[in-house]
Amino acid sequence: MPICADDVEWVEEPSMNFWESTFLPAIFGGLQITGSHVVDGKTVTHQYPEEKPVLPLHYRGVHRLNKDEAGRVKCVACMMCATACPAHCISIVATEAPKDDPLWNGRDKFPLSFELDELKCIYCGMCEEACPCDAIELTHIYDLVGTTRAELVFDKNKLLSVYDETKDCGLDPVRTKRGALSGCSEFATLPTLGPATSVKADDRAAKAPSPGVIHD
Amino acid sequence: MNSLLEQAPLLAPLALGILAVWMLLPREGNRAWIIAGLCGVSALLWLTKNFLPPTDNVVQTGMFYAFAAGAVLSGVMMITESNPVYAALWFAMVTLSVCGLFLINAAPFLAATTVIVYAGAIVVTFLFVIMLAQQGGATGYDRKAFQPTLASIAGFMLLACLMFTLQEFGGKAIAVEEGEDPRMPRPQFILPPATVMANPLSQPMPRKDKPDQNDLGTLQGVGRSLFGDYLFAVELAGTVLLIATIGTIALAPRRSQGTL
Amino acid sequence: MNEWLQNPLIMTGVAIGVALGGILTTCAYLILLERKLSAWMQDRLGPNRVGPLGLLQPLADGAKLMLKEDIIPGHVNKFLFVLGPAISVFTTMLAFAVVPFGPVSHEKGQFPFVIAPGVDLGIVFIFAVTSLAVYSIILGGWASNNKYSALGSLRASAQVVSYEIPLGMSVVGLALLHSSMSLEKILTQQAEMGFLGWNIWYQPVACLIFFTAALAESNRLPFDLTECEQELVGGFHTEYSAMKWAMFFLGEYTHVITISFLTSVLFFGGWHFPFIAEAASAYPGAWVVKVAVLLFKVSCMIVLIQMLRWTIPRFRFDQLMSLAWKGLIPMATANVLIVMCVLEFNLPRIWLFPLSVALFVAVGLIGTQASLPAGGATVRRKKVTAPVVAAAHH
Repeated sequence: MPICADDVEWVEEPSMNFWESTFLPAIFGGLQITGSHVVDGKTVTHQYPEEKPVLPLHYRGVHRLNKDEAGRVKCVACMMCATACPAHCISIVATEAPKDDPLWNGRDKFPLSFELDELKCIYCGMCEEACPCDAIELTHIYDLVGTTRAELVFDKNKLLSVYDETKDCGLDPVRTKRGALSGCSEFATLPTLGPATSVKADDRAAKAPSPGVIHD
Repeated sequence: MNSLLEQAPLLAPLALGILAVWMLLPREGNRAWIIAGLCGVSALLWLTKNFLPPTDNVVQTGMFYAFAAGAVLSGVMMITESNPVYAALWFAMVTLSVCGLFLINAAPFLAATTVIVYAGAIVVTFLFVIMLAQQGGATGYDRKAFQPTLASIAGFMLLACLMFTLQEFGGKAIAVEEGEDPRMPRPQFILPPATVMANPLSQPMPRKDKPDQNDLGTLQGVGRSLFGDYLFAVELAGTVLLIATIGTIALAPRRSQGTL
Repeated sequence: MNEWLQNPLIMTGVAIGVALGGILTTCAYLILLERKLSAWMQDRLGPNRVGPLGLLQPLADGAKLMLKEDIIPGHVNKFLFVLGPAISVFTTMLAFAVVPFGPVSHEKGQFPFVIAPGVDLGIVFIFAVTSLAVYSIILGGWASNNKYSALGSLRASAQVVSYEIPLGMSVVGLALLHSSMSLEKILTQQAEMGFLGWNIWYQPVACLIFFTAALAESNRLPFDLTECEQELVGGFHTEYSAMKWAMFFLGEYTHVITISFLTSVLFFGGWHFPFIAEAASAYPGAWVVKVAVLLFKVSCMIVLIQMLRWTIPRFRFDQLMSLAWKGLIPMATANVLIVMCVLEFNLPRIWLFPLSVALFVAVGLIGTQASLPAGGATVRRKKVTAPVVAAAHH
């Protein structure tokens, strides 16, 4: 559709006075501002490796697989996270829990292997939201490095060790309810479920006007 | 016919040159690079024998040959190159070689101004090439020369006239006279025609404050020559440029006509 | 002095070595200075990890650039692609050959403080050589076989060809005043006339034009339409990497050094400073003071150029062209005319200062009139100021 001439609004350049048309006051004014910043010596820089950043509580870093109170992996191998993952970075092989083993008492399935490619992951937190038993959670670890790609494909043991590393550091509280089947089987006590990424009321992110944040 | 035969040392290498350029001009199919190159080099060597510059300084002679050969070869490459971008670059090489010749003849100002003017001109050529000539790849007139035979013959006829004039009134007229030290600097190559009185301003005159120096090749010398000897020509050229400028402004569309 | 030093090749070689080494080191540290300055302006710290206060950062940068993979993309014209950065460094270095970097001496066996002493057409030589520098950008941009690079180099060619005219014309007045184009002679004449002999007092407008046009020639930020990251990715050097990329910037920084030297020598008296570095001062170590004064002036210019880079936003292309063709070139022409009149009618030279100021005021007034909306003819253009205000809220 051709543009109607009446729809076009012509914007005239503002007319300049004498000094403006010589450009000099603008240049020297700008130099004064930048120069004052040079000499005032103030900086806003964080000295990163020495000063660690203060991250918000809902920061989404490296994943972990939670353990229940018996020390077993909490994951029930339901494949919800692998299905929800938009980057297809989770691959799970499920197996049946041995019925006669007292360790797996009350559990039907558990993941034989749980592989998560940290390089493919886009850290969106969908796995955390999809997980019915709050087994997978995202932690505060943001400085993940490695020298090979294979090194950054985390298997079950690695993910569980991340849990051991982070459960007591205070930044990554275990957000799940404890129970026989990690809470998801006890519908009576199930809380009105918010997403695992919900934030505390006094957190800075909770005050953001953006929709989608559920306050708990 | 006899007079033509007398000029064989001049005409034969020129004929070889015609052949070389004609074979090198872009055409359908393969070009005979090796034969053409041999023809061209032998033509150049043959001509060099007749037009040796009278100097004994080895370095200067070497540089003269380097720059001269560079200029001629780059010129041939420029007109025979089928890719217009490379042709523009060979043109730049021609200009730089000619500037080198200016420099060894103690005319640095001329060399510098040539570089300034032609650098801009070649840049503009480049722009034309990029913007206009290569929109859809190489076109027919890039691949094939238009009238290669006529063009080569016409170009070399001009060259023949020029060289004939040089031969008649130039180098050969200056022979080493009896008793003269051959190492003395002699007027190079061309004698000014005796019938024309040279303007005293254009001659290298000794300066009053420093009589042992002349200002040949300096800015003062160039200035005196341009605005003394050749004042009329300079003013005429300036007027032509002014007319061109006015014409450009007249041709450019007005703001009220919707552009600019 | 022994015989060996009398050989002209020896001292020229030493001068080349000093100049080349000085330029390369200075270029490396100019990059650090620029990063530091920009950081301070933006309330950051700048590079501070390598060595004390980050002073060894240039070494790290150099090692990184040397060791980086040198990629020549498959779709480029290889010969011209490699030639481009080489021309950039070569031409800017060559231009420095006639720039005096201290009290010039023509005595045999003494350090000459200029690579090629006694070049009569100093400024013209510099213009000739630097006008070749645009080939590096054009060849690099065209050979990259990339639309962004081609656009960048097209802009560069138009810009450099345009700004060469005011650059050349701004020094014509100086050549007339000193009846010489030689940088050494202009410098010596200023030094002999003392503090009031500095050309800035006679040619302030020419100084402004020269500085602006030289900045535009060097493709630095207020005029860096050729690289222009927002529109052209990287402009002419989009396809370049590692050392070839660095050579373009080596050329740019050398150009900055050269124009700083030129501005100091042409307009600010070179190594002359009242009381401490006069033309007649011959106390022991005078040459050290002279070199120090010149280098101090040059560093002031360099810092000014770098401050400008981080202060002023980039010109729009039509603004760039109208600044050259409608502003600088008429101004430079009028300036030459003023100098010619003053010399022809044998007026005292100090007349040049009020006349230059008058010229500047006149150009400003004309600019004011030109920017007023033309009445009547442009009825279709409604004047709308609201969108500007609205845009500020985003």
